[in-house]
Amino acid sequence: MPVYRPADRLVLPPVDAEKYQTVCHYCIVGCGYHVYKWPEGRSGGLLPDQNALGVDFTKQVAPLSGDWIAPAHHSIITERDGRRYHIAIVPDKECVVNKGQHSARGGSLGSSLYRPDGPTHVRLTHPLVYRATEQVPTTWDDAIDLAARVIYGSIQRDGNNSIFMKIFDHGGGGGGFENNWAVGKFFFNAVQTINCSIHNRPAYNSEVHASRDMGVPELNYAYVDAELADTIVLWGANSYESHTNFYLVHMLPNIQGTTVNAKKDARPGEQVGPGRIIIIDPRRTATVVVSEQAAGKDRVLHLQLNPGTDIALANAIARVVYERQWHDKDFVANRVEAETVQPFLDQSLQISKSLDEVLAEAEKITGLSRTQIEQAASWIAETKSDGTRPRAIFLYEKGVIWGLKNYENIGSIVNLTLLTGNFGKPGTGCGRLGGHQEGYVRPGYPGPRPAPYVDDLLSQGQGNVFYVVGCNPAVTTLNAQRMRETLQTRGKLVRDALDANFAADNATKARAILDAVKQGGLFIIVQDIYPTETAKHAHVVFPAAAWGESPITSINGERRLRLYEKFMDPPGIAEPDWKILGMLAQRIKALAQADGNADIAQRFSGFEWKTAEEVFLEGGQSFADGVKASTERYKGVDYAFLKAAGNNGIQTPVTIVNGKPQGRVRFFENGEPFYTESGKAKMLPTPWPGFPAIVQEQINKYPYFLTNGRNNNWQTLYNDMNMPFFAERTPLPYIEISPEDAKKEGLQPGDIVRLFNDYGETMAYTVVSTSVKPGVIFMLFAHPRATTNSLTTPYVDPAVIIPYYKGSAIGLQRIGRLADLDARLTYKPTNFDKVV
Amino acid sequence: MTDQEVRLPEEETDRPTKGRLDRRSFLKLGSVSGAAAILAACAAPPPAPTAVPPTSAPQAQVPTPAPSPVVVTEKVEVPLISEVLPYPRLKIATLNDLKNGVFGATYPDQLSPIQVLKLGKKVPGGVGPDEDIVAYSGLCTHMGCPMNYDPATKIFVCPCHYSHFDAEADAILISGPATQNLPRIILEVEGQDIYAVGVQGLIYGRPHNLSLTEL
Repeated sequence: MPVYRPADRLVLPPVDAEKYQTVCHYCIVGCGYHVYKWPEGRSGGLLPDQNALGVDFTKQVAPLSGDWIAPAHHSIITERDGRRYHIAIVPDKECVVNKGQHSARGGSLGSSLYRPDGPTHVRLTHPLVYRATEQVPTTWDDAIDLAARVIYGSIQRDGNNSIFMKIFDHGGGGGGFENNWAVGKFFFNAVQTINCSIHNRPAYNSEVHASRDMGVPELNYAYVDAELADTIVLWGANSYESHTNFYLVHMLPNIQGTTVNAKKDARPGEQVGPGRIIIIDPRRTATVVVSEQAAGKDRVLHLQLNPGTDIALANAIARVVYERQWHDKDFVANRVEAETVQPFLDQSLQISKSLDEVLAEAEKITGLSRTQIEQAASWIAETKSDGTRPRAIFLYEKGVIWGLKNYENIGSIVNLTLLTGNFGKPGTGCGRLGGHQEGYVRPGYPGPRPAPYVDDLLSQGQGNVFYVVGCNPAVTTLNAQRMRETLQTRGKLVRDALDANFAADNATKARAILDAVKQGGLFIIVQDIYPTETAKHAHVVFPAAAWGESPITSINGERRLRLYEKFMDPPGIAEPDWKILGMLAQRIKALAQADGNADIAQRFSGFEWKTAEEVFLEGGQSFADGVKASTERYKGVDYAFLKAAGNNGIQTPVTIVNGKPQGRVRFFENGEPFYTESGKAKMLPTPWPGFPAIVQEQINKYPYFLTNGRNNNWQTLYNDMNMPFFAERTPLPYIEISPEDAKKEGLQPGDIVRLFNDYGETMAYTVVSTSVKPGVIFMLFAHPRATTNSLTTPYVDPAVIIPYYKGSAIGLQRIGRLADLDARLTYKPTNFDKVV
Repeated sequence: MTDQEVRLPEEETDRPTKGRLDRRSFLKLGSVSGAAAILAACAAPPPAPTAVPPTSAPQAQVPTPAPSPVVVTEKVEVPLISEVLPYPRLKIATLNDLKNGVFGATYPDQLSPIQVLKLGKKVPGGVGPDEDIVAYSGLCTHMGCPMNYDPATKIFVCPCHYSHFDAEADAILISGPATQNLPRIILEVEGQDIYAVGVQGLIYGRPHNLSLTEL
């Protein structure tokens, strides 16, 4: 069975093709692109003055030139009025983020677009309402009216907190400043509920509370800092796959030695050379293997620690640094709150024990050797032969954030950065790499910290309304099997009420729904671009506009703010999220006014936006002026400014200087204060906490530790299942199992296995790989056909309500084989390592 | 490449005869994309102008003038857009060349390197007595770097950004930033000779696979 291949020819954009600027809608890196749009039936020619790229296609296009249009960049779309256009989405060579390169994700933006004659025709096009046993298309007025009546009635009878939500808070596709402002204004100012959760976690919180509590906003570096560092520390991140162009364009050149001249310019008078990289990951990932091949093994240190043991490792490295007097004494004395240092020394470094004792304990917990721990400390902090300190940049992501204890995981890494003075200089920083892009601007969340654990409350029967936007908890929440059961069981009571009243008007239906939720039912609203597994449980479905179908703005991992222009219509009558929430708010206001309920009418006022830019500007006004600027602050910038700034945009926070918006490359330079009252950073005591009991219970019961993640060519449900190149290569999820364990279990590559523990069951096919140590299994996450999150425990870090997705344990059982997988897949491992 | 006479694809009985175009007429009508483009290399083309900035609203388009009718002696039909390109049938190797499992060649022109492989196990579409001979473009579909092939693992590895492709699985991408599986060269075996007769997928750097072929 041959694999998917596109046609053997292109249609080139003519010279007068429309041209738009945009940023990829997928990962945090935020590569810049241009969108060419021209009518079907027209074409550019082969000579440079005949096509919009100005490229001579009569000659072979040179490798690495970025002058080609790959078939995956291209599509033919149909607008609302039926006119058809070619679209080619091509990397922007002038964008400093990606310099004309694309990853697997950005390189297939064209293929992700809606087209009624392609696989993406499954996009939601109309509002749906559950009627007489089915979800049936209807008008906006009808769907909005029903949802508004239920929300309004629920607030009136059972209070604001009877409304639960789970909604994106990120930038890029499915997010952006405009939509985030509308969500916040609706749920915090208007509804005023505390029972909120975010797309990837079961509560309303930050993924990095510890860093912020210590005075360190988590996006404090620029991508150029990875080019200028002596040592890059990648912690819990597989950046070759998940942040591809940050890795390929900025990190790899450093460790290959091609940024030495730039280092000389930025760090005059210092001894500089090719960089080194420390990769802390329980898996031997493609990032490790590629780094070794590209830069040589002597420049790469892979610390393949036991899963979950990051705190012990960070503490141990810090202890070595401290013991060897490699720490930055001036920095600690002047820029760290003195009273936070001793608890750190006592509890994190265990100063009362000898170094030998501490390292022996660390070896036992992490599975690493003392030599490796000491080598890491040396690479990070050992004084160079010219007497200067090395510069290190610490970049962490989901291995740490979804790790054993989110709060101290992050705290222990920030501690190490503070100890070694790695802030406020080129080539330094300590921040998260990011998953999606960012684009957060909202009124303040009215709830407590820690916030309510919404999944728990829903499973206990709390809440009347569950409003889900731009995420898919049936597949991706922790303990997902329980969520599906909750949606199914509680949703059914409302479906039964609607079936019993199928001939009635919305007012009657709303009353029936409110009766049903009193008996334990749950009214489910889903707003999305695709009919997801969660959407199938919904009683009302709102179709949302996707990237490119409405303008949005966002920032990437180095806070680069750009305008993502609209270049096509949404499918059917889909609308942007901000507009849908606006319609809903206006309807609730009208209902309240008809009732004479002035308070609620007032709360739901101010949602009459007509354009995306109106929402953007309104959100911008919410940022405070002043020195400790919010990371995202963009006040003073409008769409015209961003259009002129192109795909390089401006790095937030923005400050207005002599009437002109000015950006910020990095934080804490020239003594800029940390984000605490004192202006000094705080260290955090981070004692090794051990495994949470509920997780340890699974570890004791089941033979394999289960971790999970994504891969280079799998970006979750979003679009991939509707793009042939991606869908065919991942029809089912896979597990990675070590050769030793595969032999023990009698597993061959491609074998279908059943995975199970006390929380759920799922399935996968087998890849035998050196990526995992014996005793550890990795599974590709968020697959709609079989989700790893059925096997995660309900454990969250109680301090912050962040799940430990990466920590569970399972048994497995071989089921058999699937002939079609054998015929069309490869089982060769994606970490590129030879399996012996 | 030895100087073999270039032969056009033979008419096949199960292929539709409608819409087949003879070589000369094809060239005169220009590329299948429909523009009046010049395929043969001549004097250096003028320098590329700067891209025209987009107008704020699309203007009504004046249709590109149709190419002037060509006077030919044979009957000419306009090619359907779905019709195949007139790939040449070229001998690229002999069975003996594959005694080490891999042989480098070029197809459909000298700027398109291909790797001809004898995999040692039967695969769908594999030719030769053991049905295990396949061939793929040697240029990475990401940004066009010539790739290295490892006969021990049967994997193509790109040294630029490390896309890997599995030759045993129809050159599917194992992982990497590429967005296309390697173009596959369609092969036929005649006695000891291996011929390339077509390409599935689009070779890197081309507007279509025959843009550099002297037909």
